[in-house]
Amino acid sequence: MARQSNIVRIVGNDSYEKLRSTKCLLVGAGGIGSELLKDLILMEFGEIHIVDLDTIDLSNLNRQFLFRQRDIKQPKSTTAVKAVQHFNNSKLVPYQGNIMDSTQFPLHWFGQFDVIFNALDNLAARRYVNKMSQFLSTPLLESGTAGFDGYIQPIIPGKTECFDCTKKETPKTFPVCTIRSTPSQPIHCIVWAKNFLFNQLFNAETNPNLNEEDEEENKDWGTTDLDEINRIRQETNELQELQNIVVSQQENRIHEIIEKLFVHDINKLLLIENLWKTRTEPTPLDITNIQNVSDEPSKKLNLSEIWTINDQVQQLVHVTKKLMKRMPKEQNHIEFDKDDQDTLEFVATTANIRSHIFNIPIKSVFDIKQIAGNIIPAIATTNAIVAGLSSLISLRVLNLLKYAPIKSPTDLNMAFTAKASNLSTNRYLSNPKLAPSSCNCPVCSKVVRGVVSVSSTKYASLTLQNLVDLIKDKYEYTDEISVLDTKNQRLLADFDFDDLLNKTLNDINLTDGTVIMFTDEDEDENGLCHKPLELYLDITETLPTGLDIRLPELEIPLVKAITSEEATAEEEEELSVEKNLTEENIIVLDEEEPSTKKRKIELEDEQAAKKTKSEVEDVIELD
Amino acid sequence: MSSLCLQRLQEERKKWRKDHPFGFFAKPTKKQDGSLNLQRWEAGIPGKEGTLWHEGVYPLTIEYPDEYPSKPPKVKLPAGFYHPNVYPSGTICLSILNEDQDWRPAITLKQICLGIQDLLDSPNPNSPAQEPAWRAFSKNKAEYEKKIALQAKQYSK
Repeated sequence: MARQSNIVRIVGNDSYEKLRSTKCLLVGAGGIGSELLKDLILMEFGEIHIVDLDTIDLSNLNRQFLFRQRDIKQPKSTTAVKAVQHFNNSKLVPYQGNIMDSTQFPLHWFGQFDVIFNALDNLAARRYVNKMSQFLSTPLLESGTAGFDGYIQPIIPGKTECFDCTKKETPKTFPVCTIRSTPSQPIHCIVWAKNFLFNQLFNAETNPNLNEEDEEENKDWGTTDLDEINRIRQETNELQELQNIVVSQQENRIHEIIEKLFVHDINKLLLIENLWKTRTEPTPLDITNIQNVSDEPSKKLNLSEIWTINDQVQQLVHVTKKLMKRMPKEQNHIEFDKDDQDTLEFVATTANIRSHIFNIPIKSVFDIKQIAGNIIPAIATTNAIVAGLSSLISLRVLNLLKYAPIKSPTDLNMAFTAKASNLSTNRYLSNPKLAPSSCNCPVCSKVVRGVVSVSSTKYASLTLQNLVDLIKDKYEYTDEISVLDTKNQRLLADFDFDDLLNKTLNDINLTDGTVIMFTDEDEDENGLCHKPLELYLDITETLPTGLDIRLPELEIPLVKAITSEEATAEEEEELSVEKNLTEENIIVLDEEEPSTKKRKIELEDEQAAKKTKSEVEDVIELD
Repeated sequence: MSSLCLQRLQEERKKWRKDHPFGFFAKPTKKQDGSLNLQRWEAGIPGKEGTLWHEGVYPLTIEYPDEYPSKPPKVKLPAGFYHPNVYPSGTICLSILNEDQDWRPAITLKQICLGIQDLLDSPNPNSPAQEPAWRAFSKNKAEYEKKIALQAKQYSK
């Protein structure tokens, strides 16, 4: 009772009633999700639907406080609902499933909610829910954390920036030359071991030359000089040969792999004197290290200590044997996984031996696990703060706070931690107002959206060509129409590719819930073409009698076809803005009523800030 | 893959269709289901007229990462390709294909293909990627040229 009267005191009776009749969707019941579920229940939302794909893992328990040891391996969504029952006054509906599964969660299912809360751990699902919210114009509260950093961003479709309006920073990549020839930091050797070497040896699909082997005998080498032919062959085959040793499980030849990687290849690099004019030369692995390897099972090594080079080689041989044995059982394709001890130790030892050769400090297996697995510790407090902000701001998104009404969606605020923003170090949170949608956003600005409904009888016979013709007629597209399946990321047809046009939608796996994009690729004399159209395919029995297919009533505006040169100009401008960020224009954030000029700076700051903030995305996998 | 990546690749295909240099080809590979995979392309680069390379058309594979166009595509010649700036695996070392160097999101497929055609006949001895071709190029031009001519024959049209 006390709880209810508190809420009423804060939002008033009317808003409380509205809250009680509000239906919300919570996507994710992990780190942020656990916190959010608790918050939403305490706020007395009428109905909360919770979706999570995962089951509970031991490593979740330090922060996902709704779960206990006995819950390990149970589904998160249902367990979370059980855990909150004793203080719950909302209708709770849990689902175990992938939010991107359009069979379990079709668009009209999303349509029942007044507001969506994202508490997700990956970019793909965030983008998907963002798109669904754009299809339906349902407000979305997006959030994320990484270590001490976090953010929340309310998204009002069509009115404020969507999740894809800003570029998402992705993990740093290194120049191929640094990785292959001139590493100077432990991370370079780890990337070499994990992304290059591991795949080369344990993924038989990696080498495109496999199939060419049969033809090799008849290949015209353009010479009759046998030495020449052999040299070309050798270059081509060296890498393949290493994989062959692994695939054919020749344990007695493991030392050849090690010699090739750590002696011969290094000697080859040394021959390229140019590389070592300004760098320290690498020292090939001492051959005695390889000869000393014993058949004895390796002694118990401490994973958080730094091993000697002898131990590294010994352990490498040991773990390579284990991986070789696994190859046939795993269809000659093993993927690196930080929690797969064999793959981790292979990467750790090869990275360390390479580091040793290049005079780079060696790391413990434990350290390498953190680096190779992109692990950033998840912190319960950050999750709690972000979830709290997300639930609080939802009151304003739903316009339930009478003393802080929103006249326009851009009156709403987002929030991010200072460190994630790079803006200010003297306050923990910044909360700038939302920016309007970016006119270049490929998701919310550059396409028109709608739902195409088809009866199942019509669907059975509907070809891609039929659908394209209907679109052309209805929206006056030209003949140069390009058709993309944006859900499965494939090109189905365009001016130069008509193989699939006569197939039925079913033949080419365009099923219920697929999202298809139609782009008009012919410009008129003014350089204008129709805006692309993205349609959600809804196979339904609910069409009015006599109607077997219904295209949405949409105005498709003509837009200027954007050339890459223009896009360049914009992107480069953006870059220069980021570089020009200085201490001075940072201070503006604190002001209540910024002048127009300052407001502009603030917006740019936000963009830069969000860019940094979203570095967060890819590392939050722990949640 | 982001919407940005997909829409941009569609745009790249359209642009290539409407304008590409003579003698070059580039097309997305087919997926098993018969649709086209815009993230993996095959292309052919003709050697420049009047150079040792002109007889050949050199096959490329171009792989666009999910983060394209923020990140550059990975472009490969066949493994074992003889050129000072090509790794034994076929990966090409070229500054416009390097995120940390000269890659810009606006660089088009056409520019990449022309860049590689240029690189064929004007290797950069300061970014060696393989020993044999680098050594021959720097120390023994006659041998280098013999091998290049040989290779051109191997890839002749």
